[in-house]
Amino acid sequence: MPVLRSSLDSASDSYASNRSSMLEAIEVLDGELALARAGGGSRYVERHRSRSKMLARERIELLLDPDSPFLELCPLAAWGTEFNVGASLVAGIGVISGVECLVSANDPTVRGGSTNPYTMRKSSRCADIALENRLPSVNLVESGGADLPNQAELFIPGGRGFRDLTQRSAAGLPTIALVFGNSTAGGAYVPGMSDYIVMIDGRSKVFLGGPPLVKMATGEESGDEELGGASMHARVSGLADFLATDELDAIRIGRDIVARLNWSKRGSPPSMPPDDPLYDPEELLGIASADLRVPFDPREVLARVVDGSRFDEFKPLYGTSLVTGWASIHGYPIGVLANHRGVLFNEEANKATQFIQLANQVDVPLLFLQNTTGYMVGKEYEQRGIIKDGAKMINAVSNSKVPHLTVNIGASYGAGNYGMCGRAYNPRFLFAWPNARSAVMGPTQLAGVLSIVARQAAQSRNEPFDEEADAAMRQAVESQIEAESMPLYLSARLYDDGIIDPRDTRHVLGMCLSVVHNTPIQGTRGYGVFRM
Amino acid sequence: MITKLLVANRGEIARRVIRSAHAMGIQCVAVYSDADSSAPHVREADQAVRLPGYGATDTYLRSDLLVRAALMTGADAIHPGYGFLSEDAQFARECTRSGLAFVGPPADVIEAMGSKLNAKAAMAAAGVPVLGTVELPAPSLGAGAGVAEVPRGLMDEVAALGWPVLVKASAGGGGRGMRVVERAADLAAALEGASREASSAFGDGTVFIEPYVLDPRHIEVQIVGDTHGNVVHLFERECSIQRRHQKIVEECPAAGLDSDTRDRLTEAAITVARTIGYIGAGTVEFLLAPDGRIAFLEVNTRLQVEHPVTEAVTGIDLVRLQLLVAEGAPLPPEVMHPTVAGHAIEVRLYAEDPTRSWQPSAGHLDRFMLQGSQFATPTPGMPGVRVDAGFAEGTDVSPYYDPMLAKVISHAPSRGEAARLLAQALRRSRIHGVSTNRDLLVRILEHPEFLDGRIDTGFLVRHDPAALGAPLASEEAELLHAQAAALALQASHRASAPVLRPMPSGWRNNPNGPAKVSFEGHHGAIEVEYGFDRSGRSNHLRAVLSAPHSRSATHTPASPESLGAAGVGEGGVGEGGATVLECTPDEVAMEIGGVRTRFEVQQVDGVAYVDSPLGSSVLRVIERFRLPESQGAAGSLAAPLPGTVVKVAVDPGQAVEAGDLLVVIEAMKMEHEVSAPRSGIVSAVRVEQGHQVEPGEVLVVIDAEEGS
Repeated sequence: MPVLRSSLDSASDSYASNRSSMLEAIEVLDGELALARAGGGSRYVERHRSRSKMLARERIELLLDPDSPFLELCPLAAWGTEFNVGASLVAGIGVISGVECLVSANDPTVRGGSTNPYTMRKSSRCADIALENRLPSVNLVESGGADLPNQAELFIPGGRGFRDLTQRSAAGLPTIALVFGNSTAGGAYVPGMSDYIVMIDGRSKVFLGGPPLVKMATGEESGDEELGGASMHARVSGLADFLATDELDAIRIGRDIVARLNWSKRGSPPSMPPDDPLYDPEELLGIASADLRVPFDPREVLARVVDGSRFDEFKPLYGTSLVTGWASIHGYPIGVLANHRGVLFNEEANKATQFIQLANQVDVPLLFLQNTTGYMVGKEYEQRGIIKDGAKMINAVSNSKVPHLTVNIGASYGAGNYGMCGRAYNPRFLFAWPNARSAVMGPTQLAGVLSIVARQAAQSRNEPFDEEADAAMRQAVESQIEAESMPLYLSARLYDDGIIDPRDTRHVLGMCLSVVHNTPIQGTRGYGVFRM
Repeated sequence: MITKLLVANRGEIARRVIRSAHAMGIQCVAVYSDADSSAPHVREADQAVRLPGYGATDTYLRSDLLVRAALMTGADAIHPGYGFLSEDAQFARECTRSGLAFVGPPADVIEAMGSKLNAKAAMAAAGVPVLGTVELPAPSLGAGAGVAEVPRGLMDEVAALGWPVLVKASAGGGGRGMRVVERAADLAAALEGASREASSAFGDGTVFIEPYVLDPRHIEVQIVGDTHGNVVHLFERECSIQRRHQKIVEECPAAGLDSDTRDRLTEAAITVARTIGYIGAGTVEFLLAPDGRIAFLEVNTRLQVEHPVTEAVTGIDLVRLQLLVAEGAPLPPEVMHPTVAGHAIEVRLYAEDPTRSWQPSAGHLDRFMLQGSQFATPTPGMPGVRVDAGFAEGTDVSPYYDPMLAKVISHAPSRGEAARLLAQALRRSRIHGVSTNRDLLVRILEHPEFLDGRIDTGFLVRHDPAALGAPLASEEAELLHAQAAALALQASHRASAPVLRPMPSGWRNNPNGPAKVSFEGHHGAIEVEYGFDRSGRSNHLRAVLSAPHSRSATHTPASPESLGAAGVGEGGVGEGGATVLECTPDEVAMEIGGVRTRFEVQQVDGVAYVDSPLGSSVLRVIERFRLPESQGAAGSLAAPLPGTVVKVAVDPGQAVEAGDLLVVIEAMKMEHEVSAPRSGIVSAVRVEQGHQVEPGEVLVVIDAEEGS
């Protein structure tokens, strides 16, 4: 198979400036991740520890197989909102007793692990990932339930969480709840709807109403152990399947449950050699342009991501703004679509449509590397049917049934975001590099469009155009759009599954490919009607 | 001429005999107990006959089965090896009666010498110097007779010898059935114990008492006689370094022996041999007191364990010689005029723990690698190492027989060179699965007193075996070993991962601190932290003794900082740190302070064995999770090793004081006492006499006394 030859000049000025701006963005990312890890802050962490309890991440570390990887999902959910970054939930994919599982853990140091609107969106996203990729899930529960002041945003949609649990169970995906502390009121249904429940003697408390509520409702005097203690549930109500002696014991039981799931992946195992790329992934720092307007060759990225830098390019001479071809990551074959010079023309759209069909024909997952400003506009392209060609590409992407993985490595603007499998097109996983931007169009263009429209309106009303006000408006709009296109802003809103260090791209994708192979990989044999 | 030889023994001596017999063109028949069905000596023989059962009394001590096996296979001779029936006159007679040549002296000679009491009397009569003796009136205190009073008359006789005295079994050897008694009050118990042990080991519980000479040297002379009246000696052997009366380091010639003493010894040995009409290979044992007096101890009418040192310096194959004499041939000329070339030292490598009162260690030999040529005397004139081993990698050391794993023998032009060569060969050996005295032997061979030739039987009394036997790996080395073990362990986790194998070890997109693993080592609990970057390079490595054992008396608490300064702390960064160069499940290479060091790691069932030039460590992985059931009831006393309960000294409900005897377990032919660790009430006795117990099996439960 052909091997990519890099022509990257790591001594060049552009490499140096790209690298330094990428490192700056990574520093910001690392700072935010550190905040997420800090949970509710040292005061609450100390208080939690003083009760001889482990932190959410410590529980996860012990649950996972030693030395196995863990891909944390949406770690920056709720960034920049009134809620703590991370949304009081730690979630990700890890290996338990040799099985890839969706693991989530309430962070009890953040407002008692209570659920806010972002927590809800993050756990919904996790539920989707578990269902789409056929993953057993393990919930490490310790939550005060809904964040009551926000109940209006939570109560009605929040019911979905419980429905998701039982629907996954019905789909043959075991759900396991390890209850480390309180799981009360609505929260009681998280273990309640799970297939396996482990409670810890003297620690787990699961009830619909605590002593005060019961007193208010019926006048009955009761203690919390008799209402929902682990021992009661293990011996009397039967809600607990296993009674653990302590946190460590609960985790051990959880691992044993997974070990006995008789789990096997339905997808085929890796079929290609998983050798490292020939080029140093460290150099990925200097490839993506610091200035989004400067295009860069996605083959330089692929040369540092795919197995052995092997890339078998398809239609290399046609529609050259989009690079398509075959490669493998960690031994799993993939088809790659990567924007080259930003714009998608008719040829690129047609090439993409054909390539997506080819991948579906042979059941190979697709990787989309986004760096696009959108489909070409202008008389020539409209007359050549850019809408029809773009529609074909979107038709193919929408109806394709092989797993899609998307990474935004630069820009993702306009309908290009749709054609290149943006969030709305349900890629199994979507990640962004720290330098990436995504919006309906670039901030300058958007402000410019608004300005032109305003100028036309003024003209039609024969009013004088206020140039000063226009300049201020453009500035304000530009900075607003710039802020809203930032990956942190988008990640906070669950529009991606995380922002990744470019140097981790190969391992993130390799792990995702392994995860998607829990399902059988089968391409579609049918599409919507292609507009010709 | 012998054409087919039945080897009535097991282990290394069976292999040794087979080797020489094969070299002479003689076919060999092995015998094996059920515990030995896959032992190397069975595979190396031409044929083999099963002796059903496990214990020696059911198998290797059954003379009827052995003779039948020889007749069944058409053997014309039987070699008894050492131990078992090698000095059993009855067996020698049975062989002869059945038309089989017995490779050893005539039955009468064995009989005469088999009783140490009779032998002493005969030698005293022939003018050979002996020690005073007190015989026990018949019937003596036999096995199972219980601790009776020692009659007053007997006690007076013993007191006349002067304390301390030595109680010895009249039959057998090897330190079994032997007790040093310091004072009158202990005599009765010593007589009972020695008698029971002797009865179990040799089938004869007769014991006698002689003065205990403090710190003598033990020197013996190899003799050989043929059926044509020739008797010669093949020089002396020094066997002074002993533990519990069992030789562990032997050499030829004896260190710094003046020629006058040597002549007195060899002449006395020849007198002994001529007096009894000795035929075959034998050994006359003497005691050499610090004042230069010599005293005859006994004659061993067999091949000695330590015969290879004589073979090394004389170039004579003693087994071949035995077979020639058994065939009626005269001693060959080189034996009539033997010469000594260089110096040879043998060590006996035992599966035992010198730091825990020599407790035998049974188990599976996960690795058994000893450098040296097998059973072959190295090329005369060239320094070399010989290994006589009865075990092979992957075989079991069973609790039924003597726990000697191998003999390692070095031969070099000088004693100093031989000691250095042997110490190095031992340092390079790899023995996993059982505790051994390897590190003790290395420390003896490198000890200034040993190298000066200042040795006597008190060596291991003067020098604490627990200190000499402690692992050669220092605390710092053990920390490095723990790092290597952690790295190897993670490498095997990654290599065996059922999914996501190409991912870097412990990869996180949101980093969450280093990975941790803890081990239980000799010096205590060790926690190792390690980490790898996204390209799989080690970027963090650190080991800390988190809970030092109190038993390492020399331990000074080391702060993590001081360890870091010594090169054990942060890896990959900073001065003196360790850089990981290679890391696989069975080998780790690190650069520490500019020096590349290789660590071999073997992982077996939660244990990591690490060998490096710094020594060897056994590191038990402290599991992340423990089954709640695995914690035994408080106050339970578990069997320390597999064996047979020979005595239960307490009953349920009985009050015991700390140190009171509870149970006696016999394993590997040694008796092990289990005593009360503290006072209390016996609430349960889970075993009775004759029970087979496994290590960890609960024997007795003691409840703490109320109010205590």
